[in-house]
Amino acid sequence: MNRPLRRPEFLGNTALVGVGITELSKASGRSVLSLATDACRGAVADAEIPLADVDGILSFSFNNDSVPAQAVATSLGLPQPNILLDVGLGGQAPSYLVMHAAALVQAGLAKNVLVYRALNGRSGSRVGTARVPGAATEFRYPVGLSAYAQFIAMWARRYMIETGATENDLAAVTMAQSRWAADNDRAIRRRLINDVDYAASPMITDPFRVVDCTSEVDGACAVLVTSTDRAADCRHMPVVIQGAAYVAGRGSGLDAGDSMEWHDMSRNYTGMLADDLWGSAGISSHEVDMAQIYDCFSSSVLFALDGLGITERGQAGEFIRSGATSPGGALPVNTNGGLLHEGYLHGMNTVAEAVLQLQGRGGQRQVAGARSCVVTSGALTDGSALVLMRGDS
Amino acid sequence: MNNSFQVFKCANCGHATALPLDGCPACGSTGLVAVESARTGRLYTWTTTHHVFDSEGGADVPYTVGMVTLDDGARVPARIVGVEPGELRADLGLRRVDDEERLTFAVEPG
Repeated sequence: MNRPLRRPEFLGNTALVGVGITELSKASGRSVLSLATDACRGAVADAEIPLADVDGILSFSFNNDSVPAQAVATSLGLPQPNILLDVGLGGQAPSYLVMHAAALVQAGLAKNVLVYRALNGRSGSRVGTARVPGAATEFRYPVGLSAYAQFIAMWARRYMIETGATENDLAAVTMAQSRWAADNDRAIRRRLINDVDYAASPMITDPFRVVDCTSEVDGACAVLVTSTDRAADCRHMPVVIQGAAYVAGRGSGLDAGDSMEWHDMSRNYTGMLADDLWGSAGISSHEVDMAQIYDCFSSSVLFALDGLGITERGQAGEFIRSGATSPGGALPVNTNGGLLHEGYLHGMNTVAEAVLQLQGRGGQRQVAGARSCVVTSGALTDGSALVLMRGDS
Repeated sequence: MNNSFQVFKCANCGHATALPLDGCPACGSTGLVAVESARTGRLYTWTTTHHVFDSEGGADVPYTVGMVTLDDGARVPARIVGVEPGELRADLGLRRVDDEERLTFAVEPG
């Protein structure tokens, strides 16, 4: 699979310049449009770009759990947006849509593009248990296989079979990330988890316990993408998009939970896009300073660390146990506590955390000296990733 | 559901899939032929579910669901019965059992 390295023109010429994120809660008491507008308005104000200069909005939703970009444009009072695009995707989408926003900016189709995710994911429709139509789900639902926790538990089990990884490796993920969450006011779970707590957490669908699963929340998150030229005038340090990739492997399925045609459930998309991602960014997996990994479930961190080439196959758990990914470690991972502890905004907040850290706005959990960060979106047969760098790098 | 279960075999590359597709997911060929599937297979992966995620298909917790690689190569989700959770292991030999409700496999004796 020796593909020529690609470096699309938007890489190095586009940047993330603003972040907006609402409170995360179990019952927002607000409409999704209100949450979305709030996060988008926040991202634009954060960048100090005039609201009227925003001319593009991209968003994603799952099972109609959000509001369209058109509604948000209306709510923001945008005078003449040129790009309003909604896609029906889950956790694969955040890095993917940032990549699209950057490409649109580079192509001259829009100047300043918002990417948001907004939902009442806890008090409204809950993705973890929502039913979707399709030929593959007709196989799954009758046998009692309906939830992402179950699908991904089976991937985790296959990973354990193939690599010798154990439940201790899953525990290491959630325990390490709980240390970061302790310093995150926004996190829905802030309790420090040790091995006794882990073992006491109820088994949901083995090998997953409650603490291996993300917590669904109500909330919204938005980021603003623009050119590096315009970024220079924004309030905060531009976070330049230096690497980007999306991949769906052969047999990626009829819906996001379908793995009937996936060749190897111990490996997800991360291994398939790693060469494109690092190649496009011009840095290696061992040179990056920080990682924000999509973690709807603990196992997806193990898959991604292995898949991206940060750790040798099957060694991710040991790497985490060494302290490397914890506060003070050599490669901080999921510094907001991850989706496991901060809450499930479908990985949009994973992108936001990368931006805040690279801008030096990580607060108590700031990673000193971090200049580059890899971000992933997705856990299964398809997904996307970014390599972001501080604008003064 | 009668006791028949079909898979689709590719005349070009031999790949078998249980999904009703218009082309072979392995090679893109349109020469898919419906055949009666193998009754036996091996356990590829599984999870034992303790939480009711879905009151229609999954109210009877705890239960085990797995991905079964049929002997003809197709991989399907199915209930796994007749085995204690501690005895589940990869490549466990399975045989499809008669079940009106759902696709179910039990451990192959011997």
